[in-house]
Amino acid sequence: MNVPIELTVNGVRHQAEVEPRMLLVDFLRERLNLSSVHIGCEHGVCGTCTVQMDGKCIRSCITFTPQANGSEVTTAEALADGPQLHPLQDAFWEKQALQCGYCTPGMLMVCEELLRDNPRPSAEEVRERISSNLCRCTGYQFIIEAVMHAAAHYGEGPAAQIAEVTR
Amino acid sequence: VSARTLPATRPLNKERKWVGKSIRRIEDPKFLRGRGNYIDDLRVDGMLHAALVRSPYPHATIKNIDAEEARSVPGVVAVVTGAEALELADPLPDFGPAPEKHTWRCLAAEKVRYVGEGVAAVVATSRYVAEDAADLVTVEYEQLPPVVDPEQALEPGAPLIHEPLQSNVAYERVFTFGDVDRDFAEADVVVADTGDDEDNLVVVLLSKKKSKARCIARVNNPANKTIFESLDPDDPVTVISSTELILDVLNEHVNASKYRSMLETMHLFGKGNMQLVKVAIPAQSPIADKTIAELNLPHNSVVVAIDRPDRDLEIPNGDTRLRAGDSMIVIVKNGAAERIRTLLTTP
Repeated sequence: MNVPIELTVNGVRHQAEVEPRMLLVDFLRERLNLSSVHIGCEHGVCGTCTVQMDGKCIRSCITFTPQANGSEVTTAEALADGPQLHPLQDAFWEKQALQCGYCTPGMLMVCEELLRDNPRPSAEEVRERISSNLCRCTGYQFIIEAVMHAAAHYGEGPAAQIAEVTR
Repeated sequence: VSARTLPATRPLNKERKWVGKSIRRIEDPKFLRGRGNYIDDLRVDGMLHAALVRSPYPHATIKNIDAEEARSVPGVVAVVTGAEALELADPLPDFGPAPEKHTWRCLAAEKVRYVGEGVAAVVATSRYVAEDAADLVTVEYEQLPPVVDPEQALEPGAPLIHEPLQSNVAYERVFTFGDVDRDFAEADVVVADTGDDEDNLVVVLLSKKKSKARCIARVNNPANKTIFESLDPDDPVTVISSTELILDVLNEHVNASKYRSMLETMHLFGKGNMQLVKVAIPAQSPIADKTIAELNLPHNSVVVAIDRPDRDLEIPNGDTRLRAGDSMIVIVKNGAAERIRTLLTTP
């Protein structure tokens, strides 16, 4: 009944046997202890479970683990380089773009993909992109300011750094 | 109505360490790294998982719960119905209007009062098994008329959600501070003078409703001026725009075109790392009776004007001689202001 899968998560290769219906969010949290991947609405609305699969954001709460077979998955744990925070993380810190922190990992993954696609987004483009994710603390304005800050201050930095992680 | 008055502003005479600064929160890095450790992240040995069976109805009596099939699923440790929870769990704290008449329970026992209220909990070795088994719990309901509108809930004869309370009103209180109607009625003039245009608008609207008094409103954002002006064509609100007031004062006092262009230049300071400082020259000042050229000012500063008592502003050149009682207006790079002031005022 279990199916074998093989995938790379944050640069580490994993082989496992899972129930076909096992959600990717549960695999990442329960099997790999990656607790940055949060469970919120459990039906693809709130975005806090967002991870990147082959560089593209997906919602791990509505993705079955076997769908990630053979892919490269990146979670917020991979953003920082050891003690050195990713420029986006640093910008979120500087601009008060979080309070309780529950939406933060999902927001970071979405914003990282945005800056990789578009290193100089307009505030409107940031707003549009993070509309996939809910935040109940900040009112979004500080998150938008943080992304603009990161884009202005780090230029190509975020794109270059994450490229190493996801490749 | 006395509108909120603004405190007098005090000059900020030194850089503050904390007040007015954006401080990085010490707890943020763990959240940013995904190490927040929320309840959902806790792991303990032998931990079990629960899934709730929830009501699909807004208001219904629970006739029967059949959990036998759910209990037989491998991995299921327990199924607890609302009736069983009455025995197992104490009541929840009741914050309703009459705690002595009413008891809150963690699971509905006799009837459900909203869609999604829990009627049974399934405990199992994994969340997947618990949710599977929750689907196998059969609940027999008898539907009751729902109340979905707060105003209808107040009507006599509305279905009661909590019968012991004999009412659907959870809380009722009228907040009264002073005799507002009388104050409005007796007022000759109502002045809305806060730093917030929305507050001022509310004051004006209230006044128009409750009073015949003349209205004077301060408008902080000039774009809002027309809103206030168009409120009451018969008895127009007197609008005072603080921005326009400042511009008027500037227009009145600054006429010569050379000063005007200087003022326009001053607006640019907002963007740059330059600062305009005023240096007073007291009687015993070492620089009194010197020319500006003799001051040997650092190259990142320029004296742009001399303010001389009882005279118009003077645009100086290197030969202009300073006198005690003058003030110099100097453009300096940010941060250098204090250094310049010290340089010019200490012997």
